[in-house]
Amino acid sequence: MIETQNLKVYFKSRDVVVKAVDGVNIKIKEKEIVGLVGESGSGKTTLGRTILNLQRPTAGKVLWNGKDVSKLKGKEEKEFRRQNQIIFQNPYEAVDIRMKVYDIIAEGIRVHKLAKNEKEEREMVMNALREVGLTPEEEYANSLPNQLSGGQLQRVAIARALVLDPSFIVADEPVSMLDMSIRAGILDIFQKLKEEKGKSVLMITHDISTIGYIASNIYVMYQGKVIESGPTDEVLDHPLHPYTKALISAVPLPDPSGRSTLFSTEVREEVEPYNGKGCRYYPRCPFAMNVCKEKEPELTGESNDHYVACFLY
Amino acid sequence: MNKVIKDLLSRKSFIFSIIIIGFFSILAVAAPALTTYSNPYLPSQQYVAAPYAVPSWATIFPQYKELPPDVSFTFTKYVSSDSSYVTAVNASYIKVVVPPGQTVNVSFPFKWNWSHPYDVVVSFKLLTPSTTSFVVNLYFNGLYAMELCPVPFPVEPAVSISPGKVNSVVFDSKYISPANSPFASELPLSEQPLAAYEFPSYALPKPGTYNVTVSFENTGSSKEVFVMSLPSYSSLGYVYGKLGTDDNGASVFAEFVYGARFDLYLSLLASALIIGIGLFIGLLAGYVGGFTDLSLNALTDFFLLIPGLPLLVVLISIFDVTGTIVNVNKPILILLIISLLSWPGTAKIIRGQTLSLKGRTFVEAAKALGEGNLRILFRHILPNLMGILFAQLAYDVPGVILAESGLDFLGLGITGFPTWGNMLGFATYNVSFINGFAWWWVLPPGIGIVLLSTAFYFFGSAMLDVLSPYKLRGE
Amino acid sequence: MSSTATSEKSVIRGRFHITGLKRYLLKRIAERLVLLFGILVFNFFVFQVLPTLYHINVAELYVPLSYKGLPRSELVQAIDRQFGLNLPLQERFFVYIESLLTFHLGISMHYDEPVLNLIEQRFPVTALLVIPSLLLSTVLAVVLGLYSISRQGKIGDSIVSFTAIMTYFIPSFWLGEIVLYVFGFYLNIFPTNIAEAITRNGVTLHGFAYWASLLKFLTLPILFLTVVSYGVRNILFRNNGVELMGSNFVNYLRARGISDRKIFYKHVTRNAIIPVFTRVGIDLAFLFAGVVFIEDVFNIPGLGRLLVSAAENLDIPLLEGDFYVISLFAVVILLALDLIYPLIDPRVKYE
Ligand SMILES: Nc1ncnc2c1ncn2[C@@H]1O[C@H](COP(=O)(O)OP(=O)(O)OP(=O)(O)O)[C@@H](O)[C@H]1O
Ligand code: SF4
Ligand SMILES: [Mg+2]
Repeated sequence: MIETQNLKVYFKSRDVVVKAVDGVNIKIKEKEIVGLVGESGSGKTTLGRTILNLQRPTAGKVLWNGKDVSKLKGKEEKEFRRQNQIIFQNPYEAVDIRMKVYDIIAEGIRVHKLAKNEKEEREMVMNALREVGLTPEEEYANSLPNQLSGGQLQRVAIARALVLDPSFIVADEPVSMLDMSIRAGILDIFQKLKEEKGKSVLMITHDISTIGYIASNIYVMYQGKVIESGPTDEVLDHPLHPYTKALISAVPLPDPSGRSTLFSTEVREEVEPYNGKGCRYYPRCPFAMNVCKEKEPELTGESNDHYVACFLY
Repeated sequence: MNKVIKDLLSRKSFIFSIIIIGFFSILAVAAPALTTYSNPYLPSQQYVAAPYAVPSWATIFPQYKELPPDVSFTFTKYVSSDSSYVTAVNASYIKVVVPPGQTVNVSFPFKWNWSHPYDVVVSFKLLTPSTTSFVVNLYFNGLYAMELCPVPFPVEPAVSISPGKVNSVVFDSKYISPANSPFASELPLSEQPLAAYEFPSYALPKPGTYNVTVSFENTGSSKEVFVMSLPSYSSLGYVYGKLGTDDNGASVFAEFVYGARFDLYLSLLASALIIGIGLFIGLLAGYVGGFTDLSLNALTDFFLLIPGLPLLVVLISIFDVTGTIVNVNKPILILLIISLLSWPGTAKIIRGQTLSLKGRTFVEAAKALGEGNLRILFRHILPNLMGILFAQLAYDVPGVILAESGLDFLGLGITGFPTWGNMLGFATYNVSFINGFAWWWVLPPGIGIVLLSTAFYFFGSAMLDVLSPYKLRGE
Repeated sequence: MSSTATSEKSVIRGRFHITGLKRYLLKRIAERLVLLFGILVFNFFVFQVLPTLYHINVAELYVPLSYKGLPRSELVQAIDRQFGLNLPLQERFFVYIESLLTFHLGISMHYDEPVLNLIEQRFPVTALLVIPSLLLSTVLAVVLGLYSISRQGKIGDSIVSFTAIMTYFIPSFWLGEIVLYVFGFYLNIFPTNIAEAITRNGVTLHGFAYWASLLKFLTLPILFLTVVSYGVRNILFRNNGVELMGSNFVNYLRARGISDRKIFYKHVTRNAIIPVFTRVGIDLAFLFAGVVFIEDVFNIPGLGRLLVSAAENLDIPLLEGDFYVISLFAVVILLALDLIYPLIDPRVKYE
């Protein structure tokens, strides 16, 4: 239902061009949780924002049920907004802290005129709060954001998205700002969303371990490019790209499957700066070959649905 | 809301500002009740006391202790050389019978507790006989103040009086000259021009008991009958009211109060206008961005760069001299010009804040929810600018007050009625070696400006702190 | 891991740095020139178009109401011819721009002297007044600011800050007159009359003695200007310093084991002083326009006085020239500031 076609987003700040997203093709089907993994600065948030038409792409397009999202107008645009929601990385920044929790959640209902009257609106808000586990909901509804913890606020942000009954949600590292102990709770919400409500989710994370539980497909990004993608189990059990291997071995959690010991790849100290034309990973890649410096590897299918961009394969 | 108020009240600087602003607001609002002089710059409201009269409370200082206040009373006691000639007609009139060739003196004693006053005015009604063979003289203790003669053109310094009629006799030391007062004509020639200034100090030099004497001289051959009212005395003192007087003897307190009224009024209005323009331009530039931003920014820079004060001076003099704008009154002209030259700072700040808010995730979140630009502006950007707006409103007030006072000070602004600025101008203009330093006139408007400006500044800062949920960086 | 990204970017940045600087410079210069041009157009509008719109012969504005006893109408006609004021507006505009570009600023009607001469004469006087007080007040602002920061929130800080804010709002002409009275007349410490100050026995002093006496005469106004202008810089410095003291930057330095003294005097001061410099620069740009009142009160024949008297006499050639020079100066200084600022503030790049 959502796919990107050769999507590019370049930022020009001062005289430097930052290629935050550089030719990305991803696809999210209905009732599917897709994981997007990559280190900080790899362009995950930018990709998510561009998919939701919050950022104009430099090239390429985002298709929503076959329509270019940047060309939507009027009613269609509104419907797009209602059906596609985003949950931001930092809950403290994502809400207007002057507004009460109730108003934060009701905002979307009002914009889309989803409630016939105030009573109905209230019901919807309360339901949403309950759904994300903020009970007693009356109490939460009346509080201000700065009276809530990060986890609670992130739940508010989720409730704000859910109240519109969207079909697709971009969850931009929804747990990265939160304590370990409450992460599982938030992730459970998404799991339920998929299973009970049949929503699709693009789950962004830099921590590959969180995604293993819930995503069915996974994309690994490095410096604006997808360098490996495939079904989650496939990618996690048989990572191909040296970068993906490094990511998995860097997982700090005690890993029951023992994956990290399987692929313990050390990351090379950067010895030379990137020359602008080769594989983006070669300055850090322990397997770098001469060809790696000369041109960029394409994303190619390795086995069923498992793609990788590396000259090793 | 409660929390906001609590937060505000916990700040000493806010309390200070509220007290000061409140004080001046009350002065401004209650001005008509506080003073009877609504425009002390009108000649009719001047000389309520001597020029440069000190405030009455200043008499606690030794150097001002002896200064007289305004004094006015009607004499009730009189003594005469022979009581058979003088009889009371009723409570306020006496009849004087003067036998032929004789002179009858009626003296009115009074107690004087101070040093000399600014002027001396004695007035009474006098019914004269219908002959021309008499002279009435007025003495102040020994001083020969006035000579009244019943012919149309008497020999100077005598003054004419109509026979057989009720005459209003007024002796006013301010107007004496060798032509109308023997006192003046008897002075040495060099001192004669100063007679009006010298009379009070000769007549009432220091505390003591003095007499005003009316002397009736009958030069004819039959008895004459005069009827006169008991005279009233009045003099302007060197002590007056709460803040003394200015160089025209007008009440400085009245000027100060009405000045506060005008200044507050003008500055709030101008600030509102400045905020209006600044908000419009800043919001538009910051939110729309792109070419709009570029051109509005250039416009702002332009207004920021033109030398404001000199330009103000030039514009106003051009308007004045050429009379191009005749049917706009001066305060409105000044209001418009000041606002037009002062909005760029505000616009820049609002633009910066808008830009910063616009880039925040919660605005993007609003967009993701499907909110339109207008809704985002009014529900998320503007409310978050409230603190800044309040602060700017408060910060702009001192600027307007200072600009307006500057103009008034240069004599280019308002001169027809009191403002703190023109008070400063007139007062400082009169500071000189000769006049000394009329601190009661020079200091209040300046202190008023400084206090009110500081108060508004603190008010603005407190508002900014309390009402801005997002710590916004402002320069 | 993220170090790759940064270092890669800095490489790119390094390569583009020079061209970036050049482009930045050109853009800034172009912007400021457009601005200057805008101001000139505006001046033209005020001094020439506005009167014309109201059917007023501009030449009449060039002539003071009375001038050397000559009949006014005759003068008006002469000036009409001389300055081409009866030409159509668009032609006059080119004459005006040309005269500014070639610095032929015309002859002041009021002073009967070339405008450029007048400006040249008065420039050093104003400079002698403004520059010492600019330095003094900056030093005062920083010293008091350091005191405030080190005693943040205590009574000493409150008093110093409160005083600074008060001084900022003092109408300079008012306090100036009082100061002049007290020190000049009452205590008689300073000379109050420039003519007397720079002459001995009726002869104008020369050389060093002249400048020394002038400086003595200017001492009071300089001190005064210092007091009324240090406030903003003091508050700016203090607030920045206080903010920095509570920032992560300082925590980080502390964590690295750098002593509080060193943090305070080196790092905090250095960073907090940057906005003060910017402010000083801006003040410098508006230098001539800013001292109008002080020159007026203390009777100093500087550029500010010149401007006010030009305005009061509607001496249009002098006004046009004066405004031009002031704007030009401001634009040049602001431009210089644009260039210097990134050098002193590491956080700002040529953007
Ligand atoms: N609005 C913007 N303007 C300029 N550069 C931007 C902008 N947004 C992102 N970037 C740059 O694009 C790159 C990718 O940023 P992005 O936020 O998408 O990374 P990310 O993968 O989400 O990282 P993180 O895990 O830290 O959230 C970064 O180098 C960032 O500096
Ligand atoms: S292409 Fe070469 S440098 Fe890039 S990841 Fe593969 S092996 Fe390493
Ligand atoms: Mg991100």
